[in-house]
Amino acid sequence: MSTGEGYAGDATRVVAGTHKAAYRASWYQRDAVQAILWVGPAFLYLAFFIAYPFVMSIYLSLSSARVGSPDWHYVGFVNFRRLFEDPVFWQTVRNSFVFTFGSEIIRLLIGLPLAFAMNRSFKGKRLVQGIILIPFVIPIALSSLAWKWMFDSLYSVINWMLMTAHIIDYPWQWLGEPGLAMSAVIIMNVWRGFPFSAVILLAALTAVPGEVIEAAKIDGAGPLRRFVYVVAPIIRPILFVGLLYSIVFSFTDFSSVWLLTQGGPYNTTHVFGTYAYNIGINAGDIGQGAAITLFMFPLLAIFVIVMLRLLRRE
Amino acid sequence: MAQLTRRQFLGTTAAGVVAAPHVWVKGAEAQQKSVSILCWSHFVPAYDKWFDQFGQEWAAKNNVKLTIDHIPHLNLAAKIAAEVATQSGHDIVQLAASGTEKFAPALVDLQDLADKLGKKHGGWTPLADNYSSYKGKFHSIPDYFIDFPGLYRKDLWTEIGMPNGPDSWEELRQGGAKLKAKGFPIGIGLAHHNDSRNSWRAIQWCFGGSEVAKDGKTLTYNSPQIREALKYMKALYKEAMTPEVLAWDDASNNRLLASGRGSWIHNPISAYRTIEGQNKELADKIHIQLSPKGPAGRLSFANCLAYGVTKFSKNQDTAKAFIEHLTDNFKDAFRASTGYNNPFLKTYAKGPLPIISEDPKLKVLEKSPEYHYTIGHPGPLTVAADEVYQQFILIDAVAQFCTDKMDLEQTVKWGEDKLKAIYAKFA
Amino acid sequence: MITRARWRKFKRDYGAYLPLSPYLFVVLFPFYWMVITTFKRDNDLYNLTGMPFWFKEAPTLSHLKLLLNETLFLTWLKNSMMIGVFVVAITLIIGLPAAYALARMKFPGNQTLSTAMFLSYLIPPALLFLPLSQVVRGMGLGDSIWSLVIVYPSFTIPFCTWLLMGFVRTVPLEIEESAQLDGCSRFQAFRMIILPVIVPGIITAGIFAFTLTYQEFVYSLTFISASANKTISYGVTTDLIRGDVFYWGSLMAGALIGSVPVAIVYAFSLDHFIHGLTAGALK
Repeated sequence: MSTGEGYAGDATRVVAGTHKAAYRASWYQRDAVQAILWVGPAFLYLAFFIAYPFVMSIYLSLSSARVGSPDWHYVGFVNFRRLFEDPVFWQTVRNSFVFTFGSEIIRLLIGLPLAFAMNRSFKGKRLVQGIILIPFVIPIALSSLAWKWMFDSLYSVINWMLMTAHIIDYPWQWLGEPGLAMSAVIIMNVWRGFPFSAVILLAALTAVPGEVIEAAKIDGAGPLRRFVYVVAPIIRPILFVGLLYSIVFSFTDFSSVWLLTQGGPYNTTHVFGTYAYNIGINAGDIGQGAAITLFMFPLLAIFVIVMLRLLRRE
Repeated sequence: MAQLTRRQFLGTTAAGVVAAPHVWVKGAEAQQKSVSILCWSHFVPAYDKWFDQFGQEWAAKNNVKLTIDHIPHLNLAAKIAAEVATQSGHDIVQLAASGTEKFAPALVDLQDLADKLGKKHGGWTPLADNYSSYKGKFHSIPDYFIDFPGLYRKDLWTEIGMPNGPDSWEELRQGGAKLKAKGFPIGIGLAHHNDSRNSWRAIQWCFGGSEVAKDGKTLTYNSPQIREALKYMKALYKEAMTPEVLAWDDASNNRLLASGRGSWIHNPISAYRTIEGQNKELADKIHIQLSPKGPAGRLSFANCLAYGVTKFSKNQDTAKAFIEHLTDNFKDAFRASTGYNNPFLKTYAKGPLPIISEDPKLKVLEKSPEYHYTIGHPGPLTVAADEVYQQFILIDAVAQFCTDKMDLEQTVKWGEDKLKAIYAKFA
Repeated sequence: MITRARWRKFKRDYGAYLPLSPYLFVVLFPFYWMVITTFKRDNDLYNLTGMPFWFKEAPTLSHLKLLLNETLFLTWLKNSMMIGVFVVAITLIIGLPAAYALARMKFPGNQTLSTAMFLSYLIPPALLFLPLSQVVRGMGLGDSIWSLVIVYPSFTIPFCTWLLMGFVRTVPLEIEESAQLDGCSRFQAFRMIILPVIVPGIITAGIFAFTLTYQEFVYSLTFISASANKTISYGVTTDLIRGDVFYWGSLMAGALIGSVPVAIVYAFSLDHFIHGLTAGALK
């Protein structure tokens, strides 16, 4: 694994010479100064548009802020305490995990065979690539609406297909029954996200050098062994990147669930984003809404740090 | 139609990127007063067209620059919240359903304007007072409310002996059961959307139940009346409805009626108007009746709308003048809405009103101002009551009871606990 | 007569379609259904006895006409595209140097900043939008697409910078070292060595930034009111849904017109994307 930092010192030491050393010293000194220019704008952006509002949100979650009144005051952890006593909140936590990890697992299971299928050249590959990407490209708000209509209580095209194929004999209430509703939002999330998972997996597969596979084949390894012991380790870093991105995306998602079910039926599809929005904005309790959203952050951070640790451990 | 919106704002370095097509800088002093209005996209598109034109005519006559921005009603809360947080935005904001108390600290006291309009037009109805008052003073001017009558298929109900539709909830249940057996169920939503939580309130009130007492503080959910209402709803659901109502949104009951399968829904006349436009034959069979009555009387739910003037507005008097002008021309607004916008002022409420007084089918709507109440009834529309409304608490309780997820006592306890948690925030 | 060779060739050219067909079906049937819905009359759409995948009554162009004539759809499309391009530009201009510095330069706080960069991407817009609106207001940018252009990089920069860091690290250090020894300044090394090599990475980051921007909804809702300033997500969902009436035909048309061109562009960039992702993540 080549990182930038370590080598510079070694390489120049080999070519030692006061001239070079002096040159290197002034380089180094200028590095710290130069860094300000290079990283400065990005840092400013983060400070202004993320750090400051984030800190404000923390403050909001510890305050009695409401939507209409300009005067709020510090109330300590009352908002959090109310959340912990709220059964709907805990249901939201459960739902968020089920939604995120359920979608992710299905996406990987579906994406892998697709990546294998795409990992060869064939006629019309460009076209197929474009088509497969469409669910990923359609703005979420719009595809959520389309799915809403597809799951409609009366006109569902999904029910129509299932009934015509005699798989079910009465229309299922996709958005009306708790289990079905969660399945519906997961299905939609999977449809939207699997092109991305497939592309990541495809990228990963193309990174595996052909010779390595051949060598493994010669050694007599079957497809499963080849995958587990040869392919998987190589594609791990890429997988992690993709996994991280799509898990964070699902976990913090708001518009897809909101447009499909508004958290119903009776709160069985509420996720952090939708519950926070409903309480913070619609009901007007900003403090409590901020508390709910903030709760996501440590969970995500822990997950990310664990993933990064695993990634670095090579 | 491409109206580009001009916004006046102070130039800053960031706005130095101003060579952009949609935005340009004006001098700090405006030559003309400008007023901007934030309101919803009306369910009857023709009303918005009328409203926009009405506004521009007034603006031209008074040398005012008027901008009207329409956004969906579901986004209004977020938008106003953002404007209050940044202390900048529209001069006039429309307050939909949730009452004035929520945003009152950011709104101008409009009692004097309210008094003036009240005097001109016969006084405000109690509903108006409830909706717009905060600490005894009007902080918004009520504009109109949306009523919830019953829409029924006269042909189907005549067949079972009720040619004028069900007059009481009990009759609805009995008739609905018969019609469901024939393949024409009724429909009242039990999901996370407006129609559901509105209809449920009408039902519970008709049984004498409520979430809170007249003082707006004492919880009354744990009562025999609520239990009766819950039992009724479960029976209604099982006997006269299909499970699809658990998956509904605001448009679903309209669709049920439009499909020809629905025999009765609880909805404003927008559903009828849409069907009129698509399927005249079906529309002829649909009639309108008073919202049903229950053991404790006839009460239905009103979705109210009012206009507030923001404290950060720089043209408050001009804004007030527009609101006054709009209120004075309520009858024209009413006509433009094809009878959808119900009045808050007694002179208008007494009638006659265009369209509904002229059409025998719609005459029942004249009575709407007499028996419609809103969130929090019999108490005032408090922030607590609104929170209960926004969090779908009452309707969630009902839905869980109807689908046998909880029994009666569990349901009442669940509802009561949630109500206590919310009302405790404001104790 | 199908010879062995021709069969082999056929399998090579089209064999992939066998395992691909379930995927194509799953992706295509909603897409196809959306196309049909775009052209279906309302009566036909709400007809319970009709077939979802074909027409009972004659198809109509009225939904398309409504979308294109009576809403500002084309303006919204233009807005979204413009915002996308500007945001990608800002992201790259700010992110590339930052990625280079974080990956290559030694300075105090390097590690902390890298981690902060990545973690800040975890903070969702749903949390930030209220305080953020105060910041934007403070800059005098209320209700204009420029408010979005300024705000969107706040979630594209973290992720893209982090991604670009990985790409920068794939360039062998020796090349840069020899350039330095030849007297190149940091900036020259950056411009002439690093940039050309990580072009796939730049394209990848650009695609990501554009996608994130194109899809965004919450910030548009907060910062935009006037119809003419709306983005495509926000405009279509707000102007084509009025209370209890969904203009399904026009909604589907909007979704299609808004996504098919972008999908085509992506299809052509996909090879770069994959190459870039491969190189970038193998740190």
